[in-house]
Amino acid sequence: MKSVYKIGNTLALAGLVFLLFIFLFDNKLVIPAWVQVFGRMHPLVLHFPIVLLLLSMVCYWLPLERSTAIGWPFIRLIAALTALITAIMGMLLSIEQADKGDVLTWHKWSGISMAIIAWAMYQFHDLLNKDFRYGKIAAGFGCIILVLTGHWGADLTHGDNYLFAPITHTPAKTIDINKAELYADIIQPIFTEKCANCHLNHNQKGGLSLNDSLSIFKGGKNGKALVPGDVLKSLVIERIHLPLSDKKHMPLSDKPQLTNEEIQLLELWIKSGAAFNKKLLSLPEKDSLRILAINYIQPLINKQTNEVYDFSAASSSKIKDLNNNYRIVKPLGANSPALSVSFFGKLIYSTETLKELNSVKEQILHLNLSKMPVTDEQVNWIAGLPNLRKLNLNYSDITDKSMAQISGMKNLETLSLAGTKITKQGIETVLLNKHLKEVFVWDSKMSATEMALLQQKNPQLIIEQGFQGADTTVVALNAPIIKTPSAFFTGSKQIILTHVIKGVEIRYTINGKTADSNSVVYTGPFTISNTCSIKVRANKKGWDSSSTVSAVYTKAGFPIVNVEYLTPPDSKYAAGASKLLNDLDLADPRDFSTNWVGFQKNDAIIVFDLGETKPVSEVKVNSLYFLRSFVFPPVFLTVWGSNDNKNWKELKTIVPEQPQKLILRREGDLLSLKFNTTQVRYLKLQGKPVKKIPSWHPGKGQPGWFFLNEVIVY
Amino acid sequence: MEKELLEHGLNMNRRKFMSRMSIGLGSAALGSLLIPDLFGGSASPEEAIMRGLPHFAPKAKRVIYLFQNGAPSQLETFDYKPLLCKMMGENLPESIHGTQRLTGMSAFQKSFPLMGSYYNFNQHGKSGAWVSDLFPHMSKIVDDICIIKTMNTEAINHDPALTFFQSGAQQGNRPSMGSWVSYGLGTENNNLPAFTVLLSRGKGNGQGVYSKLWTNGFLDSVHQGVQFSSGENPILYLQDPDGIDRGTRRKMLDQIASLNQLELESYGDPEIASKIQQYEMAYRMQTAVPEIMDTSKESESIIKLYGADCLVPGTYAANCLLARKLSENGVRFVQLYHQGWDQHGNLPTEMKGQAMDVDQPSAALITDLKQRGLLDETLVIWGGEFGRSNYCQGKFSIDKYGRDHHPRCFSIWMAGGGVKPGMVYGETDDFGYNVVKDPVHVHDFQATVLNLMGLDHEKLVYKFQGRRYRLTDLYGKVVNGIIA
Repeated sequence: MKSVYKIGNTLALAGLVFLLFIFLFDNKLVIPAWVQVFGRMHPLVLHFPIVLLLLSMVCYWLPLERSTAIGWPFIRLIAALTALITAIMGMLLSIEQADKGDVLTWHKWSGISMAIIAWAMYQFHDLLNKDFRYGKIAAGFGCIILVLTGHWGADLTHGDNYLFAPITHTPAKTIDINKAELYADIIQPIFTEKCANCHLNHNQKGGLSLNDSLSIFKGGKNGKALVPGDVLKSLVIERIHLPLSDKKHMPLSDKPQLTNEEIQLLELWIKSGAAFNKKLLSLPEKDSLRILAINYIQPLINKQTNEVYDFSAASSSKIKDLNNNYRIVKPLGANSPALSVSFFGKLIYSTETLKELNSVKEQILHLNLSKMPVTDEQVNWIAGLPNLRKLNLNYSDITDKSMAQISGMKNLETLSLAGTKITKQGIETVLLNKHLKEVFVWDSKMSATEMALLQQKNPQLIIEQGFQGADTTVVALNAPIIKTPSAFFTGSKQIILTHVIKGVEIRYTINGKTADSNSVVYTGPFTISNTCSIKVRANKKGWDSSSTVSAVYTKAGFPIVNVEYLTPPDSKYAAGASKLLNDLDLADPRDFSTNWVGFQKNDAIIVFDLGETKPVSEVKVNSLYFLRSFVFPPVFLTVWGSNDNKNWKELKTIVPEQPQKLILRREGDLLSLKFNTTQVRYLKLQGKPVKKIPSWHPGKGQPGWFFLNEVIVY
Repeated sequence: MEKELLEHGLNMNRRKFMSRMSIGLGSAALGSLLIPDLFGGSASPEEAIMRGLPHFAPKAKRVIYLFQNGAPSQLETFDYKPLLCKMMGENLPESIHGTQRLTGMSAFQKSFPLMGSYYNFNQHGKSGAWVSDLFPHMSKIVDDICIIKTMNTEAINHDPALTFFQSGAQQGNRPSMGSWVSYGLGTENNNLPAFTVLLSRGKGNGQGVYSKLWTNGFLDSVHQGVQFSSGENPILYLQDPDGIDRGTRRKMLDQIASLNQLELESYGDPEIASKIQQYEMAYRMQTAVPEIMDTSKESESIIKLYGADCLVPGTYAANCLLARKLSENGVRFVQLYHQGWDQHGNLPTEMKGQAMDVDQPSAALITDLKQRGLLDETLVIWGGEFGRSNYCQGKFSIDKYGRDHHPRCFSIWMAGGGVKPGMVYGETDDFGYNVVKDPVHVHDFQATVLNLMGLDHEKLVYKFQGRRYRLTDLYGKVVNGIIA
């Protein structure tokens, strides 16, 4: 063991001498490449002495027997040796660095001291062991140096303030766009974020510091970092654009890289002359740098919407207590002390409900009392809200009297008075308030000319007049509503007409003629007892006449007691076949799946039984017209009459007009077959669907449909 | 109520407890790492959402979304392309068409003849925005709106595109935008739902809208869109049945609530708590809704502004008027759908009809909100689910042409609520086929709408079945260029 210590002693001493030698002559030394490799192992090896030194120093506080403590020198020896080796490596590494920042200098000095202390603690361990008090003093001092050395070392490898960054809070930065500086607010933050680890404050790797304009222009050991106006000659840009694999690429490949946006900003800034004291908004409006830069800092500008107020927030429990279903009190935003108050529900609103807000008077910024019966007395209270900016009194009961108080409100910017009894006088009073920016006076007691004049006098203010054309604008009236829809009826029928707009004059005809200004005026429901078609239209002063609407009421004839299909309707459209044709229910043309009987493959041949012999002179067939769904008028319709349901006599055949082009019409047509009065009990109807749809139709060549819904016999 | 809900959420249920046990104590420590603020004091974003507050001071408090269902053509509305008229009938150049997939309706056409607009365009307002002659009323308000010409989407068919716009995903069942807003901000007026839906139908070729478009998805069912229909009962089953007066109803609700409360205490299912809330809100809605639906007190000036149809329930005009009234009364998100914009053929005629339906009421809504001082806090959106092709679909005909679906660029407009007025955003190429500058993807649009409402689309998150969901999925960038 003794020989071990002997060798150790020698090595330690030699190491110490060598260390001091390079420390003294580091500027004059030229390091061969293989030694550089040795030097670069510094960050690896340094962990050994740290652990060993700590261990050997802590032992003075451990409850050790003095005799056992004798065994510690070996640890101290190894600690001292590794400390010396690490320090030597560190020195070699530091020689490589052409430019030495402050941190490096501190690290160097403390590292050397640490090595010497380690050596000394080994060399004089006997002395220290004799009295642990000496030991503790030496160890305590050693620990401090160790921590400092380690900290500065870490700063070198990880960057300034690496350790404390997570707990040192920098408040979220906001930028006022009008004051934004091109360099300080846009370029510098890029440098700080992406380059500061190596090129800011104490760190000046490659001799480059980005601290201020002077050092930036000076550049580093490889040349000028930037040449104003010349992007190609600026080393900053060159390094950024080198491939990531290139050793000279900046920022180092394991560090956060610049975004494309940042690179563009940097390039444009250099191109534009790399000005350090230029306002962002001083650039021309269409300048790419300006546009890009504004875009870049937009998030910071936006966050500024949380305005700073000189009052503090009310407690959230207080705010909560003030809320109910008819009064909403809410902060403008999370963490904002300002409150917005809205009232809903006229019946609950009172002076009391206003005064309950006394405890948050200071915080109220927006107050919405729209449609509340606000009285002039209550305005006293409102005028006492020191920070109110926005007041909505639309359709409240206030009058000119309260305007004087409102004109004294120091912070009021927006005032809504639409639908109130305010007159010109009141507005003129309130305009004495020079803080106002917008006043809404639509639908008040002011005339349009008064408003226009006032606006002229106060061009700095927005006096919103709103829509003033009620008297001059002529708008088309919509059609009246025939409450009684087209129908079949027996006996008589009451017809009701109406219109959505009050004060409208409705005129109508029941003879099929167009309704005009000479037609009958509708005064109330009227009754008809015969088949008729009514046409209705509406007029009102200041409006264009409406379009005409019409309806047809068809009086039922002889009742049909039985319907018998001699040919089956198509199974898809036979759902209600047994009663659809004689139920006197006018089917909706939009719903042909259940309300209409349809034929396609075969003719419709149907027998109607009137129960007894009747003098018949006309048959009406309600047939669907809806070309888009292949529903055509029948090719022909024939009626036969019979008294015994066996011997038939043809009474009439009609050939309805076939369409010549695709018409978008979807209606039921009452096809009429008139003939000389004949006494019959049975009637047979035959209708032929179109065999081949014509070529102009998308379904050309396919068979068409014949749909019918009701048959009326007179 | 909210506090109890929170407590329930924090209480571990049996299954969670067992799974915790199996992982052991280490997971508790890990848990505190995953929820960084667990032991800290600052409010987590989740908590802010629970309080129903915007993440930052919002520009808009409410949204009215005038959805033009079926996809109106950008080439006959706001995207003026004279080149298409010049090159009328020439084939769409391959270089412009690129690799765009087409629907089965026109993919097999032998040629793709370019088709210019049947309607003329003119510049309007101080902004000089181009608007087609189909929209004389909207032309008058161009200085109040921001036209975005570079909207683009991924879907090429109606249902997926519509669902994508509304929920951020092409398949259904994710929460709708209105539900997200309701979830993020809560209701403004406790007597009305935060999210309502109004439907209308034009005469043009229509496409269906389904209730999945206003679903709450995995969010609490209080956030579901409530449909107002045009009949006598605008909200189905809201009215008390004959023979039941409000006192009886009150008693009944109290009893149901106490039963539900027992159930909630033993199972802790938050859906039971929503049910109690919904019963209560429905009770209050019984008085609030008829008041809003009553249009008999509207002045002649308002009727003339919106057009006479605004008094005919179920029309687009009536829905616009109703939307204003709902919004004015604190409904956060009013969603309108107007069907009938799917012009595969006969476009000039059909679009004219559609434009007649929506032109005046849409413009009136802006004017009306403005004159009440509400426009700056109400965001109005007008637009469809995608655009239409610059080539003619089907038979080439100058007055009966059709246009197929086109997802690469289309126009919408936004107004009020913190959007820059009198602005045209983005540029498309001369063919009206591709975006040249400032594209706005559907996710960007959604991010922007949420931003205007004071919500950070990256923080408005809901965890469901082990995955965190956002309206914008993993995408979306706020379009700062249109924010005032």
